[in-house]
Amino acid sequence: MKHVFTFDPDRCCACSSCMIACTDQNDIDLKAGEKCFRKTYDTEVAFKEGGIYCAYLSTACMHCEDAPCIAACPVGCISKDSDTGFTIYDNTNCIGCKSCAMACPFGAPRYNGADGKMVKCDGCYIRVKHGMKPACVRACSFGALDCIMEEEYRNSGSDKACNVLIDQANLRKKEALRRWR
Amino acid sequence: MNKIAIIGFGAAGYCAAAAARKCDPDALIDVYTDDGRGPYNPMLATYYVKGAIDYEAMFPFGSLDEIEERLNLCIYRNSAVTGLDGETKTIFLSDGTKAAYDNILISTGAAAFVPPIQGGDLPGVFKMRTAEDGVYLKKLLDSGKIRSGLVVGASWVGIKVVEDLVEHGIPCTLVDGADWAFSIAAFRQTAQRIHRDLEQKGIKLAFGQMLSHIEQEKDGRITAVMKNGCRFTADAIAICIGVRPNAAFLKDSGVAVNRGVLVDERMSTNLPGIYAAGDCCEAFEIQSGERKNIGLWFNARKQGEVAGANMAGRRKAFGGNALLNLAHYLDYDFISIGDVASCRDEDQVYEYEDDRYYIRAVRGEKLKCLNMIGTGESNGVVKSLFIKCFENNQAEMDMTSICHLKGSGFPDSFIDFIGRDQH
Amino acid sequence: MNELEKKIKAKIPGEDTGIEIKRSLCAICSPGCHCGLDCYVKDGKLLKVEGTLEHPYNRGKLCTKGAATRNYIYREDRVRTPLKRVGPRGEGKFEPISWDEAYRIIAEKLGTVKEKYSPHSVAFFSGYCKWYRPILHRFCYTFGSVNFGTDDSTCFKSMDIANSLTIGAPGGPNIPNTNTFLGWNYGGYYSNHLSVGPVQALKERGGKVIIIDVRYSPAAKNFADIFLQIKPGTDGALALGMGKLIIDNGWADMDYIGKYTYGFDKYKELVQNYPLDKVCEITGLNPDDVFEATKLYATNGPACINFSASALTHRINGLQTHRAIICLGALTGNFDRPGGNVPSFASYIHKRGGFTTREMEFREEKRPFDQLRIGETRFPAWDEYCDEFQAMDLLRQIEEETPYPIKAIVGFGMNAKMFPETDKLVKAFDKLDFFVDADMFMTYTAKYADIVLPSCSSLERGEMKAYEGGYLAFTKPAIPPLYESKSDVDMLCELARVMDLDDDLIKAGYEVCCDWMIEGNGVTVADLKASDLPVKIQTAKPVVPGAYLEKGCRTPSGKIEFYSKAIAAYDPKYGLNPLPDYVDPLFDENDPETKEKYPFHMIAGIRIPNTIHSRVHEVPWLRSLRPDPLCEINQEDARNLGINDGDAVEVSSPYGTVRLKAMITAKLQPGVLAMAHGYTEANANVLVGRDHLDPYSGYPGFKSLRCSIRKY
Repeated sequence: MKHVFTFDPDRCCACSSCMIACTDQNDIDLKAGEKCFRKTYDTEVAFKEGGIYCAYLSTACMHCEDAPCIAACPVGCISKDSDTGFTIYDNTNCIGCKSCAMACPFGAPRYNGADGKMVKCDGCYIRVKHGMKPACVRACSFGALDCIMEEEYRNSGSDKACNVLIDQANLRKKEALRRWR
Repeated sequence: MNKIAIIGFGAAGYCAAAAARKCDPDALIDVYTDDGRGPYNPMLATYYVKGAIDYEAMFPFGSLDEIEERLNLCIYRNSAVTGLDGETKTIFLSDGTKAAYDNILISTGAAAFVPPIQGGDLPGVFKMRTAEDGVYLKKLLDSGKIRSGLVVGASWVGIKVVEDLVEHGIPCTLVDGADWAFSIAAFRQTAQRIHRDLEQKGIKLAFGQMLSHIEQEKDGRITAVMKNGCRFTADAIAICIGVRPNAAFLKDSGVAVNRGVLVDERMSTNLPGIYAAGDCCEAFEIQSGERKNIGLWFNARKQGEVAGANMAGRRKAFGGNALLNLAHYLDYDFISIGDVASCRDEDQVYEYEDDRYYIRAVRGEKLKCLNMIGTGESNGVVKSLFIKCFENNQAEMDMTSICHLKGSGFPDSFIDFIGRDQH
Repeated sequence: MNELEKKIKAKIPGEDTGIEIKRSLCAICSPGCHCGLDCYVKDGKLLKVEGTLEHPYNRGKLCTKGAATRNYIYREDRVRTPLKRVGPRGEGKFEPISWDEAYRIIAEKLGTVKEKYSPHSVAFFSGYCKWYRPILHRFCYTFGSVNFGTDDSTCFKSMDIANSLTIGAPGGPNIPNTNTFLGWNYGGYYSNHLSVGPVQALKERGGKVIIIDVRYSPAAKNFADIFLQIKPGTDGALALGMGKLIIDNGWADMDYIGKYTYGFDKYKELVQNYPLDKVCEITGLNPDDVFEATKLYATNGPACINFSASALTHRINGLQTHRAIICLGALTGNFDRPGGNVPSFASYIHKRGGFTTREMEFREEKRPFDQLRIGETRFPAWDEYCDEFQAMDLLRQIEEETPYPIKAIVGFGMNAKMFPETDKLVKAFDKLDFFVDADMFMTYTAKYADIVLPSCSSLERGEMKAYEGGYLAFTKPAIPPLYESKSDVDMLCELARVMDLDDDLIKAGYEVCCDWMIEGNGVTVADLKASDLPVKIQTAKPVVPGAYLEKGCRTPSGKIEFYSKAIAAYDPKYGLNPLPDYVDPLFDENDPETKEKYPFHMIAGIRIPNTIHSRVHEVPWLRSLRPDPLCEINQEDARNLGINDGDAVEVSSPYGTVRLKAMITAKLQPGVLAMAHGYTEANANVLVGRDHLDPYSGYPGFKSLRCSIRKY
């Protein structure tokens, strides 16, 4: 039951319910300087050729199939959950060397100042194993974020898996320019 | 049946064994290691010294016994390979044993380089590379007898030894033969800031100091004497001048060696059936298109995987290899991406500094080198943009990266500078 | 970690983990919403929340604010016990007292004011959360005061009055059956999240969406086939110009107009003053865009319009603007038609359940009529359509004491920051003999009270709630009340007993009151409490589009009124126009001197996703999403003024000054500033003049006022 996170930028408004749900689910202690694992962006990007794209995004660990952070970690904190396919971790031995962050093209690993250890989104894999959606997905009122079985994703013909998001955002920008000047 | 030999059992060797076993359940895989412990990252030794991890945690893949059983290997412990015949793919051990294989992986790693100087073997003089080195230093520091330390070599290892000393409350001095710290990766301007920040943490610095020899003082302390006559006295002296690939045993083997063993994208050497991976090899680097020895745990693992798969008959390639140097010490991080030596006076320079970040970037037609301080969580994003601009000229800077960088406090001017190749 | 520990950490409900899901509702925002909540509870502690999937209203969804419920409930500034003020007003020094003592003091003080002045000198005022209002309302009347007021004075009521004047009913958009959705100031993404799904579905089935807004909103990006970025406050002119286009191009439904409307000829004459070029000059829009948008709305029907609760009516031309917009539905026959705007009436506290309760009788039964309410005779449309005082006159009456003094306030969640010139209001509190406020938190306003009573949250109480689709619910506490807090209604019922009010119903308690109100619907509170989910009410009837028009509108003419007979009947001294004509949204601030000194058009109270008025500014999770109060400014303006993103800026109006940080954006047009309201340290409403009011409804022009901005 491998799962895929999907994201539809045309449904997002960066309302950040996903971040709040992530904070709630994972008991993120903001006061202690912790940050939740997901981050939203309401960002205006100006293009050289003129025009501005208003990006609304929600990003976290993309749970890459061949996750580079796994190989980057010198103490073997990061691994794949065999059931869900999510990239999970046990930071007991984490030395805070930030090698995982250097390996991650998405900036997903975060550092807790308090204990100097890495944390990241684990896809709420325990929830998923118990038939629940990840907290962020559950909180998305607009259907921008989803988490579906790999087969379902393949059959849907969708191109909205989080890890293909990068190319998506590019294609989209010209369309946006046309729509709004 | 495919007979595979793996010489050296660090990350590259282990990942090669695992990949080969995955691709070919029937292959005979012999592993030769000069060690009796499981594979580990040499950088962990300093983390062990400062108490960040237990000794056992240095071995993420487990003990040799566990690995042997898990991957169905035959591991020859404490058995250094002393020679290789490339033609016949035969290896030689010091006891005269020899064995021939279908495929051989050279994954012997690298070793700390200690120049043959007078006093280099005095008590209190040490190097830092292996787990033993870590155990030695930890004992030394825990003994309470060390009241001052000297680190020779402002390198990625040297700075971690400095950290160990500082964490133990031991005053220390860092000296280097170059004009500034991390000189093979840092711009002078970056280093100035690094120096300032180190000095603020109470660390004494001296540059342009070439080590001549070490002398024993009457009070039991030791003194590093420089070629310029300067003397630095301390209770303990770490020699962290650099590392060298372990490739000397390949002399006369027919395998092409520069600094390290030269390999192609599939981690194959000039001789068919003989591969190399990890710190001992030189693989193609994306910026120069030339082969470089880049000692990174990540590279070692990925190269090992590639070599292992190829030895088991698959075709797999290793790519995206760039010069990277990450230093993380005393709640401080410095990364260099790309080749600082390729920068010229006429190149465009970008510089930015605020409370959190220092950035210096240089580009000619393309990006050449980036130095960044304090950007730890975003290093992967920038690194991947750097690699992308060499991999694909037409690639656009993606929205996620732009949002990440803007959202992490990088100025628009920086995003413009690194994204200039892209439209 | 073993498997059980992992499950506990992941908050998986089950016997082994000891985590239970208890059902409640989120009452952070307006009672027009209130989503069903799944509360993950262990040992009486709330561990996390999710929207209830089986709930007929929200179907599992929650907004940003609701998702932060745990952080909201456990805010550190929760009022823990009844408190008595020991320092000066506003300083925040209190000492705990017992509930008995609090009740005794309140009873005594209110009694004294009643005796010394009159019962009307006690004003009862409700802010958030509004769920207890029927009880408080009745309590006020039973006490003998005419002065029951609420934040309806500045909330959605102006729109509601415009609806009543024009169509005699509320009229929400029927998006599931529409072909074209005109999202006029549509802010669903930030403040009515459940409305987004139907618009997405409309787009997916090939429907069209027009968005009209002052800023390039997420709805504009994600939905708009045509986006009109309008100059703030000029929507009325646009609506009239669209009306002219519809008539001139023969897109009007003349049969419908003839059958169901009143005053069309006068309206037709009015819109002749709004030719396209003039409209575009006023609104700053492109004539082709306006034409295309109008054509799409008028010819790709059925079409419906988002009725903006506040964005459009928080302007001093707001009520007439909304009337002008409603008229478009009348012109095109889209009112009371499937896929158009369809009237429906509230069952209980704003919720349209399709059944009737005796809420209004409950509220009105004991109403006294022996005095004018605060503000009465000042805003005739308000007086006619609202059974509350218009609080925008409260400050004046406290200060001037005419026609009679106000000497005590009984506040429930009262929020002084909703009042223009907030600083003057809190100063005027010094003239009060007594001020009691009940709230969950030690708010800015509560600090001015003599007695503060600790309210509990919706998760800590049981409450009755109607829902769309014919549902009624009575929740049970998911966790016990924190500290010594109580349900607001329990306080009122207990206080009624202490004061021995002449009202057996209230004295009998909240559940008895509820049973009284829902009598005749075939259910009792006990039945409702037996279910964890809202119960389908057998008496509920679905809305049948067209039925309302056939029966006749609840307007003086019985028809949709282009020309309002009610307004025509008001004393000419008010100078009100029965036709929905457009006036400048800054007409009281357009003298050359003010114009020059305050060149920017400020929208004080723009919506952002992590706030709801001032209610959650102090919820750390939500505050972390936008830690600083921000003034949004167009990038060109910022460049001209040398303002960089994040710079400290000072925003001033003739009435006051706030300091906050600049946020540079391309989403706003040049000349426009926008800020979210309700921050104590940067309260937008100190910029608003107390008389910058809509003459029809008394609504403040929060969203159109003159300001200047500078770096400091």
